[in-house]
Amino acid sequence: MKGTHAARRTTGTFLPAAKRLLGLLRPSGGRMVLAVAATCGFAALNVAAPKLLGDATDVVVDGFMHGTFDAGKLAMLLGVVSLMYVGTSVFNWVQGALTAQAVQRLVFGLRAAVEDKLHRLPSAHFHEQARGDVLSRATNDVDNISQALNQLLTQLIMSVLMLCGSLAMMLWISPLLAAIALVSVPVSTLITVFMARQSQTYFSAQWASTGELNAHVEEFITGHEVIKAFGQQDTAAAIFGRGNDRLARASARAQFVSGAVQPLMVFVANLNYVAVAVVGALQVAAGVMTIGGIQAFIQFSRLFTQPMGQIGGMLTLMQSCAASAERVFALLDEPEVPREDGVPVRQDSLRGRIDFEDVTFAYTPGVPAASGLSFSVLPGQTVAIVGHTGAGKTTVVNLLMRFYELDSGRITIDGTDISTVPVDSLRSNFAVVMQDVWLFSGTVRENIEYGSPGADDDRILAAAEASHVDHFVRSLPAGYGTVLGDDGDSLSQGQRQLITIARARLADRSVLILDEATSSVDTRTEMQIKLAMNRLRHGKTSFIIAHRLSTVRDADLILVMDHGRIVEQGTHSSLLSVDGHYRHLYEAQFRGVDRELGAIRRHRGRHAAGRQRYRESGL
Amino acid sequence: MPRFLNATSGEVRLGGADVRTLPAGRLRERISVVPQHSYLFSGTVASNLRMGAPEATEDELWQALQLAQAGDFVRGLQDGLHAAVAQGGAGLSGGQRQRLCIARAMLRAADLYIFDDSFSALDYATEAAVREAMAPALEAATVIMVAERIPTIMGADRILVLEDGRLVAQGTHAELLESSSTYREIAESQLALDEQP
Repeated sequence: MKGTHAARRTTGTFLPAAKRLLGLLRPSGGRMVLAVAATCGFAALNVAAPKLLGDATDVVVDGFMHGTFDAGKLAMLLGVVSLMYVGTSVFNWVQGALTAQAVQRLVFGLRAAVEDKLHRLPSAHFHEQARGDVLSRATNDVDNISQALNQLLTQLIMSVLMLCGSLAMMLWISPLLAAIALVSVPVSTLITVFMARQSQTYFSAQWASTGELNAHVEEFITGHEVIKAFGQQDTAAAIFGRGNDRLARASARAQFVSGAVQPLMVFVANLNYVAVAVVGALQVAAGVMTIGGIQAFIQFSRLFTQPMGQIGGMLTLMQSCAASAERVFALLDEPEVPREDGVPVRQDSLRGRIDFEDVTFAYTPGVPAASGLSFSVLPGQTVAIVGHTGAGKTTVVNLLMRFYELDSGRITIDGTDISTVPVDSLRSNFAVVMQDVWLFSGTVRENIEYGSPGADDDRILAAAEASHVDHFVRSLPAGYGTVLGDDGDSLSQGQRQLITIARARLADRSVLILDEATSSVDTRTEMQIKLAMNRLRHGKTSFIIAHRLSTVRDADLILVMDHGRIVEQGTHSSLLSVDGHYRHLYEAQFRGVDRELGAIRRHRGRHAAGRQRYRESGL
Repeated sequence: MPRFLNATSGEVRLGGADVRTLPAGRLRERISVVPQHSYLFSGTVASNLRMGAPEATEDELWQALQLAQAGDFVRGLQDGLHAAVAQGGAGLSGGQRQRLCIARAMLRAADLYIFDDSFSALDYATEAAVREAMAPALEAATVIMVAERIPTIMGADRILVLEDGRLVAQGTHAELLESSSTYREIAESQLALDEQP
């Protein structure tokens, strides 16, 4: 499936993504420092306690072997140890709370960054990337990072500190035994690194498959009616099934490989234990160490190997987290529409003179959508754009609004090159009513208000009335408070378009861009739309993608498009006088209708005559 | 009719049988629909066309495209039939999408063809050409066309005029002009929108 950007990794290192992710923790630096301090406290107490327990054991053993049982000392030692363990609980809790806060702040920042990024991505990005995959990065991957990071930070710090602490204690008790224990370290490390490389590929595949599956689901749900109509449910289910399989296999492999790490580490730890126990016993027999010392040492070696196993176990989590982080960072690193500081063209000063100078542009390189386009529009004029479907009529609009950058040539408004104007400022001068009506799931009022956020009710009502919206909205059960579904289900297509006209009217911009293709509209509503559009256009420069003869006839300038080129320009009469593209278009497009409607007219005439005769006959 | 919705009361019958008694899958096999919102899936032109007929050969695909007056623009695409289609058909104009949806529907040999306002994005000339090209293929089948423009349905055997969910008139174009004020109103308002100078 096109455009899901499966990350292909040849090396197993996840370090770059991990480092970047950890770097994002910096704002919570203070909290993290405290968390680490709490963990130190935890570790210190946890590490000291066994030593004291060792001493306590010695007291008991002394009492047993030499008969000098010091109950008081024993009690004291045990009491202190109890306090220590209470302390560790407190430190544990503090550490957990602080880490959780830091992680949530990080994830919050990440989500905000992703949302912000989506607004700055060029339109081309959404054409290439499957929507579902982009969504997956913003949701699934961020969630994964959140959960994984929380667990990781808590356990990782603790494990590392415990490791160091127990090692220190072990060295203090017996350097020889410590050396034996240390043998296990390089062995474990080698295992870890090896497994990490293997499973990283699988983790990346897992999260890429998730994105892909998400994209499939999104598409099937949007087009479900078509799928049902053609009885393609089984095929769709099969595609989903295959995607699901891929995901399952990738996940299983990833989990299996990285899940094998912990058992291996535990195995190594157990071998270690055996070695220590044997050597230790020999030492005691030789009188070099006390029993208590051995007991403490064994406890420490457990405290040493346990974190090692845990770190190995956390490998799964680290890699999964890194794989998701990579996907999110890939999205954040996408080239965006540059935020330039140019000359802001304020609305009031705009008179609305527009010039296209030798503009050339292609959506995909090699397939020009506009070639050498040049024309001038004076303020207040109406430009009609005509041509067959796919001739490039929307291209002119896309370029004017800078949804795409030109390949060559330039476009100016009031003499200012639009590429020097900040995009937001540029677009604030246009009001658009397009063929694909877009209304969001809010109330009717909110949808109209979208044209000028914060407008008061009077202005909204005035815009609605002028656009023939008020009448039918009042007949709705909740009036202006009626919530529109994603497809505006409660309204007809024509009514939805009228609302977009009301929205454009409220926005009150100097330049209008209208697409007259009122698809799926009954003729009475189409009348209303035509009137509303005419009213809207009054006094403004308008670009109209024209479908009606009357519009074209009255336009100040007609641009005839064919295969992305302007082939002719002029007024209706000037173009008709030439036997060119326009004339053919006119004859094919409008004459055909005229002929048929002429038949209606003639018939109506006959009908009227018939009625007249009927009346006259006095029946 | 394809039972996307079930009637609250009354009956919808296809071939004498109440559609609710027919298994949905079988029912829809006999119906070919061009829905109101032309939706294409990510894949290729060929994969989208084959939705209606998975076994269709490339020749058959080209035939259908020709009927829908879409042959030229598909030939003009870089990979022709195997040109990539993005989700929802983005990158294609409204008219091109509609024509592909029409071709998709035409590939299926059905008893009943439903065109739900399928020509709205096409200019009159193209629309007329499409209807003319489809006529022989549709001869044996029943065709239901939902339309806004009178010229689209003028030649129909029977025209149903609906208002507020009710059937207010039916008949041929000529009959309706005489008998139905609603129909006349619609015809006249369309006239008014496209007045000759």
